[in-house]
Amino acid sequence: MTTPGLETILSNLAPSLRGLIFSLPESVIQSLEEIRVRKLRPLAICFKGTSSFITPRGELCQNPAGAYLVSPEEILLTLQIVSRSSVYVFEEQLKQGFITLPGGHRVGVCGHFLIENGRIIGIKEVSGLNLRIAREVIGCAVPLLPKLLDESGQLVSTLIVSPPQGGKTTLLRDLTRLISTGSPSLNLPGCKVVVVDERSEIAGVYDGIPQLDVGPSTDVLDACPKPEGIRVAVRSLSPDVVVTDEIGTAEDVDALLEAVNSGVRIIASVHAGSWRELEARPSLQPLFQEKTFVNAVLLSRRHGPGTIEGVMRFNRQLPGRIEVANGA
Amino acid sequence: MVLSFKVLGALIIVMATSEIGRRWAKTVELPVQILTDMIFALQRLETEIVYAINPLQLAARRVAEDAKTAAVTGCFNHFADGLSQKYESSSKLWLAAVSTVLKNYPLSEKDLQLISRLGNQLGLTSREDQVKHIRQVRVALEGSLVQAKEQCQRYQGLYRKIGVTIGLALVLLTW
Repeated sequence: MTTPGLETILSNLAPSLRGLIFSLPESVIQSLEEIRVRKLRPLAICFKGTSSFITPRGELCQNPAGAYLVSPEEILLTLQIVSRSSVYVFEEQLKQGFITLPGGHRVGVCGHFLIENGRIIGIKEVSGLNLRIAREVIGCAVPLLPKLLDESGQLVSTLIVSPPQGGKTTLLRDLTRLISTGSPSLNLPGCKVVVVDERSEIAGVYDGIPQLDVGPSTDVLDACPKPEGIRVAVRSLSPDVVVTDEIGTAEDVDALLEAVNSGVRIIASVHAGSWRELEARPSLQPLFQEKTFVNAVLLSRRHGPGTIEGVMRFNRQLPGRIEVANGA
Repeated sequence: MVLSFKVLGALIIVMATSEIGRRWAKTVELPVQILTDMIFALQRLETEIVYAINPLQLAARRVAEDAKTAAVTGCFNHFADGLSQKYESSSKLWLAAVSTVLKNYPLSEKDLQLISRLGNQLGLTSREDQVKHIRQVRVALEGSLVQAKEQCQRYQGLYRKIGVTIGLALVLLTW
């Protein structure tokens, strides 16, 4: 597992907070997943799938009473460092509640959301920041790729199903890289891939350059809303495969149906903890009824993020039902 | 021969006092130039933020490049240098730029306070809010500029005349 630019994300913290994080054991620093900075509340980190607070002496503790309290000035300074004192540059990203950093890392922003005509127009009084460290696991999708091919060895549309923090974006990114590069051992040529990266998580584009490896034949529509992005991709970029993350709305589903009916294969992810939860999502029903996806991959955190619970094939006989085709 | 030396000496005295008068006049002229340039710089900063959507450091650097007076160029360059070092708030960095650079120029305390106000919230809000904030400071500076121009018109000519008059008086007294 590689963590490109771990130094970069830590350098975005206010110096006092950075000092505390650097006081932690090296093994903890290297396995950091999140750093949670909340106004006048304990400084917390997530690593190796667990959460812990940090004491004023830079030690791990489970009791919040003994933890270091983050001051409002530290929040403000961290926000200034993260945004390079230019919050207005990240205005569109902030409407979605995050800022992307070099290296593909992401900072989730909490605060008072400003709403106009039912839409978020900004955030003020920032009360918390969640620094999420992007992890690139090169090769994690290699064992999965053969299972996503049909009898003739062609890649088919696949849905990656995972609960939050289940590793779906990491898997999706590596799948993108593999599909874009091609696999001589599977006799799979490299494909033209378009990534519709609404939240800049898959490719981690910063200053127009993907910070994470998404392959040589991949175009990225960065920060582009999924429905519009999928339509733009099909219309103007002639992709073989469209990759997108966290589908869920009726608009996403409509755009995916249009793309599939245009001969494009889709690799997408969706939030659900089980097949039952997936089937229960009303907005996704048209995808099952129209048999948009041939395969579905269920992930969990049972043995750490990215645990493949099963690769399923959508039942062609009974629209809307799914059954196990093979386990992984 | 003696007369020609006397004339030459008188000329030197008048030229020297005229120069002193001109420099006095400059002290009331310079604030007008700096305030005019600062107002222009704020318009440029607004464009950099609203239309170019450039980060504050780059915006400040570009404003400095376009500024016409050493005071405004120095102030925005100092600010951009501070921003590149990253670990200080933009309001503190702007205050530092104002106190380090602009304090060396003949600006009133009120003008310095107005310019310092720009640092509050600079870069920390949406584009719309940034525009409101910059315009607020600009309007206040425009009011200051009107006063500075009146001062300039009133005293600029006077100081020059005083310089020449003192020179002539000295020549007459020492002739």
